[in-house]
Amino acid sequence: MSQNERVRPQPPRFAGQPLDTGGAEEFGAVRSRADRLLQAADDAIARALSNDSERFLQATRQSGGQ
Amino acid sequence: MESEQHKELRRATRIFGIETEYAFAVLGSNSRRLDPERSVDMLMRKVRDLVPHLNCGYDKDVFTANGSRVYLDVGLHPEVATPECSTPEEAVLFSRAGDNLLARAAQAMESEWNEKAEAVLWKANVDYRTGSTWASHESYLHYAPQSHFSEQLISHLVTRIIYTGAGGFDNTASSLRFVVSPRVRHLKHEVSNCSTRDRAIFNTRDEPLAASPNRRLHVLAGESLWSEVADYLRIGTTALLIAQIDAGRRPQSGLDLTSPLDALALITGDVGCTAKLGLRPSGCLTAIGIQRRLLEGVENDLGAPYMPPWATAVCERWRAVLDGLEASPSSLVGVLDWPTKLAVLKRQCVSEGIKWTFSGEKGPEFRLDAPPSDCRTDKSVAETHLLETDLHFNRLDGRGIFSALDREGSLNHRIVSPDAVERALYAPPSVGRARIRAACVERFAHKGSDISCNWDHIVDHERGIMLHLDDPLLSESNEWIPMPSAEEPAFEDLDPVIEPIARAVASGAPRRALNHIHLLISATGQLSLAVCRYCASVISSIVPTDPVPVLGRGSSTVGPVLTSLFERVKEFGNYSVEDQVGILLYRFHEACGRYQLSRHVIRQLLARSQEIGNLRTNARLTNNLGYEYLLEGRWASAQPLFERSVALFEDVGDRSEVLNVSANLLECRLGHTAIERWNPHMPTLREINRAMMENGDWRARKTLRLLARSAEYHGRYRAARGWMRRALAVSDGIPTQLRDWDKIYLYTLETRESL
Repeated sequence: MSQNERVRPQPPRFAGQPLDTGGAEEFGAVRSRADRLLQAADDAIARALSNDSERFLQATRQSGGQ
Repeated sequence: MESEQHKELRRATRIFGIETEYAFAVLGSNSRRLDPERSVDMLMRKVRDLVPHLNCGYDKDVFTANGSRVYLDVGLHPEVATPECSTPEEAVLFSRAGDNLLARAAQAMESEWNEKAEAVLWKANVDYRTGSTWASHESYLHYAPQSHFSEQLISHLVTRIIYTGAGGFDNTASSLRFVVSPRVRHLKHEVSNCSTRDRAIFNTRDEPLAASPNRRLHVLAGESLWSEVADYLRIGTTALLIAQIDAGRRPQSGLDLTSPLDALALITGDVGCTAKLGLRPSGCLTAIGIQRRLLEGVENDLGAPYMPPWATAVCERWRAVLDGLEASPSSLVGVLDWPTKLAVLKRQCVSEGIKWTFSGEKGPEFRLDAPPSDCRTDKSVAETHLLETDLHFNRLDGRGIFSALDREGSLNHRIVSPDAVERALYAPPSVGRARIRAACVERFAHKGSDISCNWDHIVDHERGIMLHLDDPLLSESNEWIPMPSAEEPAFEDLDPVIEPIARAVASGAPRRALNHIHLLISATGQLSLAVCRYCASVISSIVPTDPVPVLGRGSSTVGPVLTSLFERVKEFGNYSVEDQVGILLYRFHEACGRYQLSRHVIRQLLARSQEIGNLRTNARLTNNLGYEYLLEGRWASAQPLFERSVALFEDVGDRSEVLNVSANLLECRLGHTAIERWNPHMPTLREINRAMMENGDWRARKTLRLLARSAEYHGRYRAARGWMRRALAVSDGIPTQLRDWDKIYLYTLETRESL
């Protein structure tokens, strides 16, 4: 296993702090949406990351703008 | 006078736009960077292929079919400036249309390379390897003096980052540190006019891109955002506060931060949004608390005539987001940028075996904490993965993480529909001059470089005519006027009343042109602003008075024409044309030695300038007024005016003008000092002269002349001649009568020595 390969343990559920306003139903919906988002994020990150992050960051270096 | 209808339109309409600087790189095999300059050339070529456009000066700077501008900015950053919008939804819509245009252009260019190429286009604000920044700026049309905004808007610009922060890592820190707004680490001052260094929370760039009384507030403390809700609030909340300030309200009253820069540093590291910020003269509030107070102030004004129709909708969303942040920022994951990015990066931390810790003082930091035994990832590699994840989060080219989440319906940030964004690529906003610009793009795009376009005008070079767009609220106009320099304007398109003038100019008959202008202005009929402006430009081209008078006393027609024209243009309440004609008139009186009249005109211009609070113009006119006294030898009257002008130019940070007016002030002091007592002033004189010469400022001729006079008094004729030769050299090519006086003085010095 190369240094760049990553182990991806099963991520925990979204650990956002509970909302102290609104009902349990609303909180459940928010939590459920966040869980879906993070599952989707796992896939998106896996697809996006290159084999060599440092090389990618160096190759895409940007000069300052305004 | 400005019509009541237009006043009403101006009162209730807010105009603004978003500028987004993008990051761009094309990678070849094995992540090798391909030629950056060729890359952006190809990107811009694809933009030109994709949409109708008109050039703005050159082919990598174009206005497109919806009135937007697409160009290359500092640091080879492609940039899109939206057209002038009148609702926050429109600003979001055209900003996203710009994203789509560049994303398509980037995708289309990949096949143009001789090797497999990947165009990486992303919307971020900092670079983690160069430590640099770029960002997204906002422009807001306003009418009140700029100083009112620096006093009344800074607390908002500081605290709004709780919902406008892009999220990411602090690229100025030695360790990996998540911040709400990476950009704000690059804001080093509270107020400055710089945009590429010494950036400030409040930028004082004074570039209205429109005629007075229209002014433009340029906000560069913002960031490129993905969330449409965040961009909607960024524009909507700021525009409402600007509406209040324009109406004379003081929204920041009681909310002045003890130290805006310290507050920024605190908020950007405070992912819980609970930090208390010190207020002057006492007390403290959280950023949410300050935003709530600003919101309540706007809500109290909702029925006021200066509040735009969309104000209530913005307030509702503003309140909902503040409620969400107060409950827990994590409740806005999928809604705002930084909570979403924070959640994604936290998730990534788990994958990388990195523990998320909160230091309490510096804000959250990523720290490696017992990686799984079968993982050989070390801390630095894991951190680099997080930085790369951040970059991919922001990608526009279809491979971005935010885009992927959006496509899968995991987010809740939309304000505008994808269909509307698609239509907005080709259609302008609902009101304002962008509609005229877009219509011209549609009509003339096929004519290539014969037509050039800018924010406030369009020029048809082929026909020698131009269209002014200096009223941002104007939605329709076809008042093409000849270019002053046009040899053969297209007469058939002109307003018939100016056709005889244009023909006289084109046939090289300036006196006839002046006579036609005189007849036209003396008539009682209504004249349009465009016609008055044209007359002023013709007079200006016939009798150039800038930078200093070259008029002869015998220009008998010019005086009455200018006097009448000055009275006519006052009817429009358009300060820029008033200023243009007023300068011609006072310079004419000055050239004729009628200083009382020249001062009378300057005082009228100064009163108008003070009315609209234009500091730079106030400074210039105050200096002009002093100079009219100086020319008459009335030192005591001139001196306080120069002192005032120096102070005003220092306020606007114009070093070159500070030097010039300081030279006038010194000339004034020396004027009423016997030359044998000049010695104490000589070090100052030499210092001002040195600085002006270093700037290549031709006006250094006056300090050189004073140095020559001093040398002459002490009998050092050779040195005096040397100073005067330098005076003539530095003003070489400047069309000024002053050179004639300098030549005569040099001749006198040469003659005196030979005697």
